[in-house]
Amino acid sequence: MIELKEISKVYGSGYTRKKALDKVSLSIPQGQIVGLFGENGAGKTTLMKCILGYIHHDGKVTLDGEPITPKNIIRISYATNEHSFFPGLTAKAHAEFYAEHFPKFSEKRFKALMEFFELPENKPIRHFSTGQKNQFEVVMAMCQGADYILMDEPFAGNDVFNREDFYKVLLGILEPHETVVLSTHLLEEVENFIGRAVLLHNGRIVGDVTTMELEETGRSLMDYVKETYNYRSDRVVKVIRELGSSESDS
Amino acid sequence: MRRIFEEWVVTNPFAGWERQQSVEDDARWNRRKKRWKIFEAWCERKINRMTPPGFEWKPILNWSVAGMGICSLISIFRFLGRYGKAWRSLKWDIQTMAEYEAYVREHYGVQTGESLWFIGNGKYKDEWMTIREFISVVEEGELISSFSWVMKGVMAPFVYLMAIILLLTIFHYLYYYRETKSIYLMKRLPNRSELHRRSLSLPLILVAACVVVIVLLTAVCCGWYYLWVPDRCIAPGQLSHFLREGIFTMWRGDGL
Amino acid sequence: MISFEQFLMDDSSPIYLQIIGYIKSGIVAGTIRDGDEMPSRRMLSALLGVNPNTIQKAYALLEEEGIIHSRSGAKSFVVLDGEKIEAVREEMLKHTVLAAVNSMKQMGVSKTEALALIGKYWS
Repeated sequence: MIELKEISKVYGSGYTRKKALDKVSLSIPQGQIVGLFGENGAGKTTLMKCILGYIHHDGKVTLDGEPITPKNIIRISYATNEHSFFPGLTAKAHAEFYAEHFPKFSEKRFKALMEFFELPENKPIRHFSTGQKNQFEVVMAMCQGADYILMDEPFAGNDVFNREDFYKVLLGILEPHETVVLSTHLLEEVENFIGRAVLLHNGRIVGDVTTMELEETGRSLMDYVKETYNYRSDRVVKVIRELGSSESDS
Repeated sequence: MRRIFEEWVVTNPFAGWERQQSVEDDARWNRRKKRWKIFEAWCERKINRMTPPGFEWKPILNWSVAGMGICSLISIFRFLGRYGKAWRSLKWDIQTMAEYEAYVREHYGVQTGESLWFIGNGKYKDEWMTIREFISVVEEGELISSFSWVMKGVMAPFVYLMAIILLLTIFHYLYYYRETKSIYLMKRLPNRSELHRRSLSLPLILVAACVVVIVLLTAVCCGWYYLWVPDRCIAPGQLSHFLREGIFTMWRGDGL
Repeated sequence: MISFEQFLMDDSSPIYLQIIGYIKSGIVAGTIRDGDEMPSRRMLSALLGVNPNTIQKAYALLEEEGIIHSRSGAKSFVVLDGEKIEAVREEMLKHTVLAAVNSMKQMGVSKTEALALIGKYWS
């Protein structure tokens, strides 16, 4: 279980101060497929980077009660649209590198996914197309042998067939103990695929619901999101109205 | 054409043997090539493990070796310059080089206008001994400048070379942020030292190689220093003096 | 093994209900028979692109109703007898008719008018 306790992250200072994350608390048990949604700048990427310890932040992140250290960080893998592979290496060389450093690296899964996505094994990743690069990034995150797979908008630049295929393959190969946290804009597409949706807005969690709950109350994910955001904007309208009335009084 | 050749082979008793020899030679040459290729591949694998994955280190290696060669040449020139100065400032009984040249021409029957290159040249090999004889005419008590003095500033080019090589370290670290953010992967490795190992190894090895070259060059210079001057003209304790002082002054010349 | 190739999902109702509906329709139509093998949960999840929890819920409910039987870890099989098929048929018919009745009531159609319409459009 990954637990985030009151995570806060502030960028800039003085006038340009921006709260990327504001006292975010979240629990992610093993075996869930979680969709992380939010507009640009909501804090999705920052949240993932805090979990992985890439950036300094206030608050605590624990994995099964322990802080994230080089000992347990291999249980978390990361796929990002910034790409974290070595552009000069071939896919095969990557597999060798991973096999050397990650004891749970799955050669079998690697071969299966490379074949499925039809990616060449002996070409430097630099020479792949953008779509192929995204696919490779995700393949390596899947094969690391991690229990928690964090994916940050991994499909920027892939067509819809690619994505559909990917969700299906993922569902086919994921083991029950593997957890996926997927941040994306594509709400409707991932609605059936995920088991839980977490909404971020301005650095705060404004929604956290399982798809089961949504089904039971007969709402779609889009309905839920609209509800949540409308609720927020109602508060803003209320305040503006109050301010407007107090001004007209004086 | 081939038939004519084959006929020639049959009739010529030695032709076949030559061909046989050349086939054997080819086989030997190919074996040697193969062994070299295996060695090259082994080196490549080793260096790949010491540098950031996918980093193009071959040009760096080539430039460093070229740099070491160029610095060696420059250092040798600098050394010869300073040694020449020291050598010429010895007070000889023969007051000028002109007197020496006159002696040589007379003694060896060399016509005016012929050059007097005497180092290693077969024709004037005896001159080499002659110079030593001449130097033995150095005034009593005259001492040549210390080895430390002669070495002053000689190794300056290497300082620049080593500084540039160490800058490479920064490039190595930056590599993980360019093109892709492979730093994200490196920061997730259970082996914390991998990132630093791959960024620091090659520069440190190259600097160590430079140091080896410097030591070898110094030894050669030392040999040269002792070769051209009789022992009585060299102050005792040169080596310890050099180790105490010269080692520190050989990096920065006067005019730098 | 039971094929889900003809199965189409839409937004009308929860997916697990649609899966259950598909199985029941198959039973009523006779294409799904006693002893037929259900695809494994993981395979169906991958085939449809649907979260395993949803698939699990559908299978659990089907098992609760006695329509399928799964041994732990092994495959699930359809368990039917004449009685059960009848029961399922009745249930499906009831839902279909209730849906039609409700929508006609909403449109203000009377019972006699409804029966007349059914007679008219039966062929």
